[in-house]
Amino acid sequence: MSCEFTYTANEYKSDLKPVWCAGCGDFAVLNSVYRALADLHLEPHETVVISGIGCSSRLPGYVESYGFNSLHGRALPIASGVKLAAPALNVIAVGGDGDGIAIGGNHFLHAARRNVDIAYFIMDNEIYGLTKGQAAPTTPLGDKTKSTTYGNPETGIDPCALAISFGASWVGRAFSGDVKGTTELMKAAIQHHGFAFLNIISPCVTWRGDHQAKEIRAKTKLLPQDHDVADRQAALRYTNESETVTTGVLYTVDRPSLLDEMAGIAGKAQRRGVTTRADILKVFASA
Amino acid sequence: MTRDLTLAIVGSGGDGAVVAGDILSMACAAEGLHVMKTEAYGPQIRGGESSCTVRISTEPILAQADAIDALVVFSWDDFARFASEITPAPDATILYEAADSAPESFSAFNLVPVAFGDLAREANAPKNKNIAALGVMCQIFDLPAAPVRLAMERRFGKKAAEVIESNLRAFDHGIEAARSIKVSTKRLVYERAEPKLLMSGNEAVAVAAIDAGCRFFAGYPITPSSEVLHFLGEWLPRIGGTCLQTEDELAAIGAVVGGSFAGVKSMTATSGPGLSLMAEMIGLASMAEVPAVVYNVQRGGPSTGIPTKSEQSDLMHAVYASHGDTPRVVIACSDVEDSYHATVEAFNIAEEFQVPVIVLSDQSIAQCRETLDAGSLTHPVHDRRVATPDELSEYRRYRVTESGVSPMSIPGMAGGMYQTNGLEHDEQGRPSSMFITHERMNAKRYRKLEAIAGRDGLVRRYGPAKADLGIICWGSSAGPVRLAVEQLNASGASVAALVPQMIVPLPKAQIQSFIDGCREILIVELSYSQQFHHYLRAEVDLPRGGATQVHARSGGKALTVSEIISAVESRLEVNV
Repeated sequence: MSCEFTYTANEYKSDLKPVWCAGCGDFAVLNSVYRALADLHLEPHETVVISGIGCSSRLPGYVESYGFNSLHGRALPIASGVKLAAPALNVIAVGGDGDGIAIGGNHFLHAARRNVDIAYFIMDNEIYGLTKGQAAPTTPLGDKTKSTTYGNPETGIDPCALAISFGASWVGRAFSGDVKGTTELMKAAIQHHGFAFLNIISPCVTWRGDHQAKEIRAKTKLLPQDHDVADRQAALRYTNESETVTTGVLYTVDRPSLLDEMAGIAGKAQRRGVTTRADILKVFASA
Repeated sequence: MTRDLTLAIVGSGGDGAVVAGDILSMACAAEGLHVMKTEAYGPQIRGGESSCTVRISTEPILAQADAIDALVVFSWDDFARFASEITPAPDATILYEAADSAPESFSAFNLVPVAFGDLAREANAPKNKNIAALGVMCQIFDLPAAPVRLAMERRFGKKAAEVIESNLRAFDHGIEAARSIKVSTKRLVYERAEPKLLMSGNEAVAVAAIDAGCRFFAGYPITPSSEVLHFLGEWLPRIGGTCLQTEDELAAIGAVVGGSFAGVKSMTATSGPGLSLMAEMIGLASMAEVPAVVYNVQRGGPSTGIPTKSEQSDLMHAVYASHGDTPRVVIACSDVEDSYHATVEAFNIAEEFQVPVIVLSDQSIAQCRETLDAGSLTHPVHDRRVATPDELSEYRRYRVTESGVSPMSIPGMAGGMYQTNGLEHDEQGRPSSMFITHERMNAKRYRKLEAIAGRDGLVRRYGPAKADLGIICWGSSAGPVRLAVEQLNASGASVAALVPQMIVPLPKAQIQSFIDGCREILIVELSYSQQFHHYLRAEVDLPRGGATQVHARSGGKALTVSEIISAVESRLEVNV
């Protein structure tokens, strides 16, 4: 799956120009994607990037690989189908916080629970950008947005807290402004065996204002050196933070992936013997 | 003496009516008889009313009989819940539980009280009154007892020896007890023939998927289609395929689109409520031109409706589901064997033309068991036309072609990289919101339907070439309509029938020429709002001024031959 020849980050760039606003955090995320793919020597034609709908879901078009810009909220089911049908492919799902946590929330739960062998990157800007500035499930309580004139009546949720609770076997948080750090976390997520979830805080200059990026940068802290990534409770202490944005690998556990389990099932099924069409029709024989 | 006998067993869920019907069907199939077995239930998960109807004949069976010749009633209360759905023939023999006295209104029938419960207890098999009843039926109606014993051994073979022995005791005691019952009734006569397969519509679809090369299935459980998930969950892993039970129908069809995009023939199975949820993804498969097969078993609707009973009311949804201009293909099944052929054909069309294909069945086929000859389960298989090395140089995934079909690359193919899209896109797959691109791409996608409409064998015609009255129906209505046409022509009327298997694109020329050859048209369907009639109105020229009539009603009760005959006769009388 990794290639004999190496590509530079530039060679993973498609000829399509991003539609994002100047200053959007997603540009930095895209750069990190190029670098991560290059560092891991992933063959472009053996890599599939799959997204839902939203500003950040445009990302697959900007990567020189196979890509699928699908339906709002449905990147994970499609990515799961791709990986199960063609396990040799490198499958990366991407999208925004609204796409993944609101409309696609149910799939997030089940992809994590199943431990399907894909990496999933959310570009979290705490707002709906493409539809021009409505509150998202990640928008903090009280924030005024286009859809919350008097302040957001709902409490925002941290996607990392969900992922850990849902049973994801690798959970990390990154800040898009730190391209080097984000690249390293993406690489670890892609190389992880099972479902790896990386929440990338990616500011929206248009709907959250210029100050958002500055504030996040100021609040960003690396996980302490002594953080035990195998400790689920410790990992949860770094979720739903208000005063800090802690980046790094919050949690990881080694457990069988969905492909491992499917291989086990195939083994059990095939131990019943070589299957011919006659065996199948025998189920319906009357004598 | 009869060569065609219909039996029904009615009781509560725990009474084992369906198990007895299964065993009887298996035994008759082993004797080479033709069998059609249908079930009907109340909404309860366990308990509640339950019925099983088995038609046995020396000739091929096109539909369940209108009326029952031999009825076993364990409880009259349960029987009352099938009022107007299970109708005894005027000369029917009704064997009923002696402890539950028969209502006055049944006094005209040939009533035979039998203490089924006592028989089972006397045989030291208190749980097996259904099998004791089977013994009684075998004796009274001359059903084949030895094959029933073999069928029981197969059915209970994996259970403890005591289970088989207990059932055999109940069966033998039932036979013994029935020797003293003197009743004048129809008795089955037949010659043995080669054993037949016994299969449901859902099973035929699952086998067809395997034969067509489907190696990825994703589905969410829903009545009455879950048997496809069960069967493929057992068999796909044995042949190198994968079966995924998803969190909902959105994910099921999403995974199918993903699996197919990755190059593996993929299918999902659902019923009305699931098809509603799949609408958006059908649009994506159409827009991104990803082959996908969606098998939908219709049940009573709308909303949760009647999950256990049949109807033909998902037609409009299948034809139009998804916003936007969405080319798709809809193929209907009219019986169990047809379910096999329709499904392989659905894969062929999906793969050749890169479109979503909906296979429309309904509960009366999907959960009906029919006898088949193994030889009838073959159908040519076509594969996807993947891009050739030549086409991969300067590759354009959505190249505009005369046929509308563009060469498709598969992830993993060097040089075939593209981004696919639910957004309107140009030939390279790049998003575009330009009118010119949209118009050109709509035309390309819709062009694919032209070639599909021209395929052979997707319309069935019965009766004379020119007729006073022509019936047009679809799906499971075909069986009773064919029987009605045979009987009407035998009694001197001039009636023909046309049944399109291909619903979208509708073979308009063939339908129009049928319409033009008939003086009057009768449309028959199980949809209260006449969905098929309205669809035909939109697609072909139906005669006006009262020359087109519709026989439409709700589902929940099988279409009978006699109601079609009276609908036809009332029309022909008007014109005499």
